Amino acid sequence: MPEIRVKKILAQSFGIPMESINDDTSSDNVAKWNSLAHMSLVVALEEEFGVSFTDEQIIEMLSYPLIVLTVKEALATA
Amino acid sequence: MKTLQQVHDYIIETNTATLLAQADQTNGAQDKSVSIYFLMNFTINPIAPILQLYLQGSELRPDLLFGQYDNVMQEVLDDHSLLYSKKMDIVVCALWQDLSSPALLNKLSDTAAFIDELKTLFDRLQEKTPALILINTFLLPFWSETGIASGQKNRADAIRQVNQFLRNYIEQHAARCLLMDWERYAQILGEANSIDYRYWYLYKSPFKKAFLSYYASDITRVARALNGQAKKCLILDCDNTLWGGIVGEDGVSGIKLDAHDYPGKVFYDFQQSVLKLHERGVILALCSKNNAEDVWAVFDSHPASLLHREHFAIARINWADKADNILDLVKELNIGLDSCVFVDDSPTECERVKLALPEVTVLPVPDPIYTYPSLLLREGLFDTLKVSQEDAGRNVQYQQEAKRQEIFKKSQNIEDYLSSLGLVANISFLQENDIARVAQLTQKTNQFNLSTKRYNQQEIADFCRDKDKAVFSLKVKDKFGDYGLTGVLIAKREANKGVVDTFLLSCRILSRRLEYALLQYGLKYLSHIWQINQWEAPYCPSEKNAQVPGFLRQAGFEIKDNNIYQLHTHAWRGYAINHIDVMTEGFEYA
Repeated sequence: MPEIRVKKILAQSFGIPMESINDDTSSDNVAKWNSLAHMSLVVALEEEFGVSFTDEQIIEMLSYPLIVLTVKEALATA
Repeated sequence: MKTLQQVHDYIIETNTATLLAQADQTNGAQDKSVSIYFLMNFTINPIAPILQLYLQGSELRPDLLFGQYDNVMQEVLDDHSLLYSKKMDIVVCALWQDLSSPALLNKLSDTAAFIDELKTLFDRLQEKTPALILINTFLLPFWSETGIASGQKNRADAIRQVNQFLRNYIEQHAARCLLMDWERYAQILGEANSIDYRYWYLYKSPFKKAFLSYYASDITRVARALNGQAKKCLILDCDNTLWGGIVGEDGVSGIKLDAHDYPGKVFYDFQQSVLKLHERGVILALCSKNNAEDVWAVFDSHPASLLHREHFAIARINWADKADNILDLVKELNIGLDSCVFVDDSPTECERVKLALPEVTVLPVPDPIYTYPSLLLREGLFDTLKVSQEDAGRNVQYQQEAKRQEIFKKSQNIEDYLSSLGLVANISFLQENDIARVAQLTQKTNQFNLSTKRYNQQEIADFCRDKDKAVFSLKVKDKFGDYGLTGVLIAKREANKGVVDTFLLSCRILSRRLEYALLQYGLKYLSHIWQINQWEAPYCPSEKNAQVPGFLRQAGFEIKDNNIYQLHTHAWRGYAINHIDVMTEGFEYA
């Protein structure tokens, strides 16, 4: 299950506690989640799961639930 | 202090999110800070956590600022831009050319115009900031748009021409500009590890982590050199370090040292890189468990030995403990342990020195041995911003020092010894062609240094032009040889008092009372022309300059508070400097 690992990466990337991350967590309500931080986040997720996201996935994965979904998708096709 | 290789390996194997979290943590307050500004025409920001980790590993506190995306020339020209909001130590010009459709090189005929534009940019930048300027080469396109057809000019040719201009420009402005050789990073890493095309098209951020790490590593080398962290002395073992085999057993003709054949060529190539360091002014020392005659026989007579007896400033060839030997030679050279690098093939000796003398940087001979020749070049341990004349003659100076030590041992007392040296001190207002050397001294001198303020050439040149500031240089020679420019006094006038901003002497000329001569001649003259009778010397304690307060008290200064020392010129008493023949240049001394 990738959920915990995604939460850890999000927490480290944005300097927020893991417990605060839930289905509502998105780029709209995390202060540090700007486009620069998003780039680093995507690289960190790719390193963590050993996958490579497509450009469309990168643009869409802007919330915690979408990231989990995309990671699972990428793991399934890897 | 971590090696650059250690930091690089850590960055490559660690998750980017972890790196980000670590880079955000605050650093030790005792670290020196280094301010770096990025002028950029692409998204270089992902370098931030990587560069922060490198600088932290070098005990420097990073202060990074990023300019606006693709607004380079405007920022340079606008006096109110962020670039000029505070004093920057380093300005990085991070300029990228699109590999497929370079905006400024759409037509190959534009090359000359593009070069002109770059020249204007760098010229303006040099005028407007005293910071060091880091300029990168452009990456050659990995693929050719003209295909295999020969005889056609393509973009790679144009970029080569631009890069050649950049290299020449940096060479001509070596005092201010340093090269960040992107071309070489790409050569080491290849296209696949350098470029992220996806991020280039999505975010204008073309570089992968490994490439950014090499870039950050080179920026860190500049920051280290700027902060006086350059190593000064290379201490070498002999057997299986400067040649293969054991000279005591194999004989001079039996050791492995050869200009052509493996494995002797590995040691030959290593000697070559040692020789290059010698030419850059690094002090060479031997520390070997051996019979001295056997070792010298190699340097005197082996046909493939590039290193000869005269290259070594000092040697400890005996059967005593190596840590003791190193302590002993460091004492004789009068340098700090932390400015020494020790190379040895024996894990036991390396471990012994590491444990006994943790300040010494220990480099074991690598196994397998193929990577050995570049060992000393990879880390940039001996990097200085510029190589000066004094650097090149340094080993000769240390050999002269050995002769002085002999006399000292024979002298009855210190007065006899000092008088027998025949010291000549030339104290002058700083001359134009000595600016680089003075800047270098402020960057490198740690022990006898009042304030440890690091200045670059532009700042020194500015002081010389300011009528409320004065820069004196001290050049020293004695009957054994020339020490060159080895002392600096920078003073400024504040209201009705004088302030000693910088007062430093190279450790090689300490214990000769030359510091008294420089202080007396400089301050007395300035007191007269500035019409002041009170001096202040603000002492900034560092880990290494603890000897300064003792000197200030000896020189008649009284401590006020907060490390401010005060001197009234009416209480001035002459110093015992009769053994020095002082000459002044550019000012009259009454």
